Amino acid sequence: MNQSSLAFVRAVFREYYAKARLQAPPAIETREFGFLQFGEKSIIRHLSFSNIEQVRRFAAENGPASISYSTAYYRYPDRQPMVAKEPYRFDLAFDIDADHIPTKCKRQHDFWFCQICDVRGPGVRKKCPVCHSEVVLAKFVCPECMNAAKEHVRNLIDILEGELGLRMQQVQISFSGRRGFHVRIFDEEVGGLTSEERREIVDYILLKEIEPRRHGFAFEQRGGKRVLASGPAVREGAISRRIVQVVKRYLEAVEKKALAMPSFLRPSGALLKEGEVVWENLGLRTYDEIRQLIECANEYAGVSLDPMVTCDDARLLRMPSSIHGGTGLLVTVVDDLDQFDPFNDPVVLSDDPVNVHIHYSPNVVLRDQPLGPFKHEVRRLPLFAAIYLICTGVAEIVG
Amino acid sequence: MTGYGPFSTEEWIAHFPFSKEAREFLEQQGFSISTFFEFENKVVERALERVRDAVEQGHVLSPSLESGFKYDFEVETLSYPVAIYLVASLGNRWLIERYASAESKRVFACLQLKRYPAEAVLQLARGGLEWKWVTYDSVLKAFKVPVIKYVKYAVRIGGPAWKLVNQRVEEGVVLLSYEKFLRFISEGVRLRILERCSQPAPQLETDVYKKSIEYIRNLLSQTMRPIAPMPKSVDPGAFPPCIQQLLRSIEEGRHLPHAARFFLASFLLRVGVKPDRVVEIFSRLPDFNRKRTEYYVRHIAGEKGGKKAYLPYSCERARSYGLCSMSDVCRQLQVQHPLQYYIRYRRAKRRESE
Repeated sequence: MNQSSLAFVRAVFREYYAKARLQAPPAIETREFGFLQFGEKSIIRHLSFSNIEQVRRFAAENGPASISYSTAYYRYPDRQPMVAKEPYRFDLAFDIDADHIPTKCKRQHDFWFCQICDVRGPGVRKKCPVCHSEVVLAKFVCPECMNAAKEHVRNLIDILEGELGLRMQQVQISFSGRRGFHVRIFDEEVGGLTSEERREIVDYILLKEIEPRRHGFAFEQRGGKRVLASGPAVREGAISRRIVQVVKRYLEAVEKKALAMPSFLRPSGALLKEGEVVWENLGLRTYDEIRQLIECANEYAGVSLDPMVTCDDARLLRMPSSIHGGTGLLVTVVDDLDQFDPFNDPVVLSDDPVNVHIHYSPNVVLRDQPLGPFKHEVRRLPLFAAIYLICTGVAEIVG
Repeated sequence: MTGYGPFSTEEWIAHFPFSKEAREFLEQQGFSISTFFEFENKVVERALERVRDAVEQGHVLSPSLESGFKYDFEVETLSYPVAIYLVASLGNRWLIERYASAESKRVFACLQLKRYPAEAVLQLARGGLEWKWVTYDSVLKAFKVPVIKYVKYAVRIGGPAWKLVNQRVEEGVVLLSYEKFLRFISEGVRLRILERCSQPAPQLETDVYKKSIEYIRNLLSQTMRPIAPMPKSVDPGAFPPCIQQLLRSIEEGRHLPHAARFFLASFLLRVGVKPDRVVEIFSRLPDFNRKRTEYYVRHIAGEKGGKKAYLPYSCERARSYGLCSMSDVCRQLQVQHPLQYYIRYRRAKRRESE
């Protein structure tokens, strides 16, 4: 982002916060706040506010790229170092990001480009292959990956409610403003869990560090070969059911070639027969490979989440009702996940026209308006679309 | 305490002096602990024996379990709160942890040997430990523990066998077999004693009390050796704050969870401390078990099992286990791994001295 784009975006954000009605987090006076300024790399931390109006005024003055608040409740939220804050409770928070779910669409809409030599290519790359300078990474989202993220949120809620029996009256789902969702549980009993205990919950959700033998996996010697003879019996409880379910969906995707064949699978026949997994045909050789299969399957068809967000005691998460500096979209509390449209509902900026120069942009639909694909052109776009492209790093303001 | 089969209330109370029945018995006696320190008596004698067993062997022995051995159930029962009083009033962290762990081992041994009916065990958990949230399913033959409660105790026991992901979970409860639940209860006993000892008990002025305290101090000075020093090739001053914190915890005699032990052992091995020395450092832990620790340390060193030497957790992973001390120095050095800290810190120090 060049200097004039930077000034422009900052002014737009300031204006938003001048009139915004922000939603206060529960027990706001106990939270640590963090603000990220446009053009800066590190967050200003250790801030504390006693009411949401103070937050709004601070944001209206600075026009920050992000406003986030701690998952911890502190006695002294503004003290330093961290231990002096004296945390006494934590929200159980989860971060589900479409970026980490292995969907195929990514190669179509994520790309890198070099502003100097004007080369670009699909996927992720750090340096330009021609001039070796740092490239701009442009990551977009499409309905396919956002639907996958939604599916993972639903799976997570099912596990929390159905398997772990957590009270879900105090749960908040929010669209993170870009590629994913945050799920927060404000329950008091859960709030007493330490990071080590939250780690157990995360490992449970991610099916990590499974002992395959405890879940019915068994190898047998057949004709001098080690063959996986059985998998989990579904009646053995929720975990076994979940393992079978995600592995089934994963293998379906592998069979349909929607996913590449992973190195630990060495098929010796059909992977699935009449909708059931044929364990002996998978060619798995060790318990470690079983673990790998389960973790990959879960990442694809179960819940893919960032464990650090849940376990870290010092984590800050974006505040709902703030706007995301990478998109200009609203961090939105989602009441009805099925109905929520991430390309429409969080678009809150106006449609006043502005001129932008776009390096390159794939086809994006925002507020039902198709935008692009663009390539090296100056366009007059509604403000929300212009900000989206500038913040994503593929456009600059003109004039 | 009737209807649970062929065992007497007296035996039950002697085994489990924290049970509801024991509490009722103690209330009937209507004594205050300080009265036991007014004259020499068998209760204080037995209390000191409990502490001695704990300090010397890490396991309180149960005379009520020895066949043919006559024991006085009143002395057995009354000596439990008296021993806790002594341990709490000394306020030595190592002793507190050691005693709590030793009593919990005694309870576990009693439960394992006597194999009381599930209903009685349930009663012990609900009444004795005040775990109102535990139930027993006689059809599934399993104890039902709500997930959040389970996690609280299970992470302290540690190991893959206790990971939530390896349990049978249904609708918010973990189903535990009879055998596993016995271990679960004993962990509850340990935490309960720790809690009771966290409030320092007031010192008394009587001779019996002073003599008892003197006796325990003596025991400690004979048993608690100073922490094994680091070899010369290793520079403990360059250890990252998280590792120093763990070493301090060991020095203070604190109990360390499973993940912390792995983290510390893998770090020390990597910077060049020999497995035997690591075991010596761990020997200070209140629940130290030489055989198990040796196996474990050699395993991490890659000498046993999969022959794979383990690396310590990265900073990020350590943080997720609550092991990071979130120091500003780490932030300044921009380290992502505790070994990186050690290397950078040493390099910086060497440059300075040059």
